[in-house]
Amino acid sequence: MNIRKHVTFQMKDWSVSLLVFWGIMLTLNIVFQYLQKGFSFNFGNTHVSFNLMDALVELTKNDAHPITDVLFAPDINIVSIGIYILVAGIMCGTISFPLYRGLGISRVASWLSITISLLAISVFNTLVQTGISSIFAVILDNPDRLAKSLDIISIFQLITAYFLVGMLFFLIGTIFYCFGTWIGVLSVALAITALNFFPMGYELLILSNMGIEVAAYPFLISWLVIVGTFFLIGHFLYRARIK
Amino acid sequence: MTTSEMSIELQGISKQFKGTQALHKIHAAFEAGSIHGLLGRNGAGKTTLLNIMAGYDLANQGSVVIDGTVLKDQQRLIQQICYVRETEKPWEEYKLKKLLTFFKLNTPNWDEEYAMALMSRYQLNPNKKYSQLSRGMKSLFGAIRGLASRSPITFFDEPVLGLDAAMRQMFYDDLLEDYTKHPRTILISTHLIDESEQLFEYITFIHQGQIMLQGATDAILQRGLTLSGRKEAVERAIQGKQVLHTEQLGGHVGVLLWDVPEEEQRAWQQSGLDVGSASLQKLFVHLTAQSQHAKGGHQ
Repeated sequence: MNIRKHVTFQMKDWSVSLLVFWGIMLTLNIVFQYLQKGFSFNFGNTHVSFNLMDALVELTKNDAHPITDVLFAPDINIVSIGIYILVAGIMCGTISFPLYRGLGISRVASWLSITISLLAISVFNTLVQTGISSIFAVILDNPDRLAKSLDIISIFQLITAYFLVGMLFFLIGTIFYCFGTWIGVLSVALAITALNFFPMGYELLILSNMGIEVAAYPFLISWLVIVGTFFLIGHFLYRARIK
Repeated sequence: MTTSEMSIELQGISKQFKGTQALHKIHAAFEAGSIHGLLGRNGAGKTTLLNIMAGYDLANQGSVVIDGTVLKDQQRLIQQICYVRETEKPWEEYKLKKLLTFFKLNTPNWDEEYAMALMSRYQLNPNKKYSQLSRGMKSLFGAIRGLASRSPITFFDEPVLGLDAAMRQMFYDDLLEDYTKHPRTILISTHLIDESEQLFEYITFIHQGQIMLQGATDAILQRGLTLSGRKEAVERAIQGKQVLHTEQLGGHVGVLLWDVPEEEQRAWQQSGLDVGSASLQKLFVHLTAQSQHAKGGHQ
């Protein structure tokens, strides 16, 4: 069983989508940071000015947690990576598994390789995000953000959160593949309910902005869920009919 | 037997789908290094059987034995099997050149040069997506995969679906040429019996989920014959024989017979009756029809 070769194969398959994803995110980060800083110019006799921060402060002033501080552009990547991994997870169950098996890779090897690929992509995306936010922090001369970006616990928590999302949606993709649409839709509803118990993306941002130690994040439970999901997927895929 | 030729044995394979018995305790053997034809009517269970033999589906009972080893999920065995299906849903969003890279990475005996030669011979554009291909082009791309994989065991499920007569002949020629150079075990399921008859060394008839007949093509063809002549003379001759089909034209009658000893055939010829060979397609059509009538009668 050449798992390393199969993982490399999966990463190659994802390489174009990763390149496009990070190209878009980096562009959005730069535009977002520019809009936050604001701009103004004269258009004939009209003075045009825009400041995203002012707009956000105004929009969230009645919220439970209004935005008061200057936002950090690379933070928008956190949820986007989650969505990317969510889609990748579903596709692992519905496309990658039958593709692997059809190419002559055994069920067990396919299951292990896809799982390792999901972990690899979670680590890769977290590291890219860490790199981008560190570069932004240095350019914006923001030592606090630099320290936060490089905090090893936050990095592990992000990896865990992404891997958890990836595995849950790999399970959902597998359920769709093995049992059809209706049971698949039911499993999506269950997964969304389950995910509500885990602070994700923007909630994580709020928690850290409120000064709450992100270590409160249910690290152990996440890994238990990941392990359980891993074996459940294996159970389904070992019996799946390749369509 | 070389490592490029592997035998397959089916030991009591049964499969049920939501209360429908698709396969009933199938016992069969597929000799190594030969081209086998798997023939059966629509819904006979051909694809289900191929799926189980390729490890794509699990049997409810029985096992597939490849070269003495029961097929489960062993990487070592699975990578020796290339299964070319009618269509491949997981390939839909990939370009052909990317799929060719996948095949190259994951198929131990993949012949890249031969694959590219076939791509140009069949005029397939590697920059096209699989989903953009017509039915016939999908069949051709599947054929390229099956041929260039040089897998010791290759299964083709309806490999010429959607192909015109010229392209079908091109595929048959390529298959025979490559098989001659690189012998391996090939199993082809098809509805086009007459034109693919030339390929098969062995034939397996599957009917209503059961193996109806299995043997060497020549031996099967020898068991069937046509007899024609004056009605009274033919009727006299066929008494007590297994008649598969009868056609009458005026005072003449033609019959399709099964399992007639050679001495009797010679005697018929000497008495002025016309004895001829039966085509595989005719035998297939009337053997399966007869089996259906017999089942209906029993019910």
